[in-house]
Amino acid sequence: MEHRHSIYCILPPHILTKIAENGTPEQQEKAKSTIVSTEQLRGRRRGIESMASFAAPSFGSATKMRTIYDARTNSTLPGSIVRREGDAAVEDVAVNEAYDGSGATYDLYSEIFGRNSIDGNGLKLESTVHYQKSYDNAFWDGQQMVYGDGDEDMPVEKRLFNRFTAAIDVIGHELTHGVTQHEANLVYWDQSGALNESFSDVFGCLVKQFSLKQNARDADWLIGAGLLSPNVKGVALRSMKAPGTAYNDAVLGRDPQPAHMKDFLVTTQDNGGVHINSGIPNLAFYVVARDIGGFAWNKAGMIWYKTLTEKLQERSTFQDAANLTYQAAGELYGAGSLEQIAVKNGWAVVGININESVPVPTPVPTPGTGSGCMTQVLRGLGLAK
Amino acid sequence: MKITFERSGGFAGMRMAIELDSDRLQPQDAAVLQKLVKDADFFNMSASHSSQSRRDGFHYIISVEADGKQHSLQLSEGSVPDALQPLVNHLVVRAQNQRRVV
Repeated sequence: MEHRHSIYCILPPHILTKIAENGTPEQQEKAKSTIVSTEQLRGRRRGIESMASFAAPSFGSATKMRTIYDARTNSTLPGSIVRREGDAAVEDVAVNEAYDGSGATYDLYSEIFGRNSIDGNGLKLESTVHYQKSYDNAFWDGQQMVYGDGDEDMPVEKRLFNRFTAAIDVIGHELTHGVTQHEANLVYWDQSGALNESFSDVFGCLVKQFSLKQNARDADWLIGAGLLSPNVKGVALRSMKAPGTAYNDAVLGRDPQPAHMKDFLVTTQDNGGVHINSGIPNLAFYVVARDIGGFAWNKAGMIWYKTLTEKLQERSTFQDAANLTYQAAGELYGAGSLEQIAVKNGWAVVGININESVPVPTPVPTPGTGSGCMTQVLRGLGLAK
Repeated sequence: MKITFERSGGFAGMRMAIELDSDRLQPQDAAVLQKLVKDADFFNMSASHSSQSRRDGFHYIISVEADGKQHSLQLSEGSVPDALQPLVNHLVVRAQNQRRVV
């Protein structure tokens, strides 16, 4: 049985920090990797970004690396390279939208949350546009983003959907699936899947608001606004502020999202309704952001980011997310703070009551990391035999 | 031959569905469909093909009733066997055309 070590066995963070700043290059490397492993043992998947002394620029190359590909209406991925990082804008609008949108997403994660790309380690941002013909969709394939053109090949009077790069929140949504994959890795089914979807909508909206410098009150809280043609009776694909109201159209039907747990949809479609039931946690986030006020990415966003990267597990439910966002708010802003109260209220609005006595999640050791024993740490730093 | 085709999921999470009855189609259309089903070796296909890594992909359910046989497949876009892809593409286009504003 693996010997689990108490966190008291590990060097205090400030000693490791000093070594990481002032040691020999080899000692610096070892200290940095020790910090990451010990933070993981404490249940934090990313320790570096949350420590001020390791702001992104000082830790490896924290710059975005975008490549845009053109599938030229075929299905082969990734397609032909049409724009690389640093290249000037091209004539193809979809290419520029994918480039700018993934850049804006990178910037939000980097500037506000201290995260260097999808995996926290500078992962390349790759997008393919013009995927297939009449492809009314966008997806994340586990490694890259892929966007269709909707009905843009048809005359306007026959169109239902525009190209999927036209909404910056769609781009943020797809990239966030990559972040979630590297963090909580929420299983894409039922409640955990709806949470997975909700985190993508949340951070997709935050990317849009960040790019427009909009506060919570002025933002429209819509997902995919601009994707529906004028022929469709609707404003967007989803509304975080008012789930179920985004569209009501003779052809596409009515927005099926619930706004409360009592209307949770049990279905086998859509992986158990992951794009449908996401309306519930979406509304909770909107209420939290509205009640806290100001820019939503600052406090509400930080609470949600901390929860995604340090607390949620693969099979977390809505109740877990409620308990853990409440816990995160208390850790960030204080027990009984206005922010924590806002989180409690946000979930109450959608019919979920916080369980305040949920323990801080037990860390799951990442396979292959060190044991954290004092001797092994010191040995690893070259300070013990 | 009767075919029901349903698409769900995708970024928008919308449902799209059609029902086809070869008796009610133009003979050429019926023939195209029958060939697609035959070339796909539909009735010998295993019932479920899912993708673990795709997010916001589509999901398809195809049910075919023909010659006294009935079979249903559940497929994730991205995990569609090559032999089935032409049938899937055909059904998607038919469903989209039926849905578009005239």
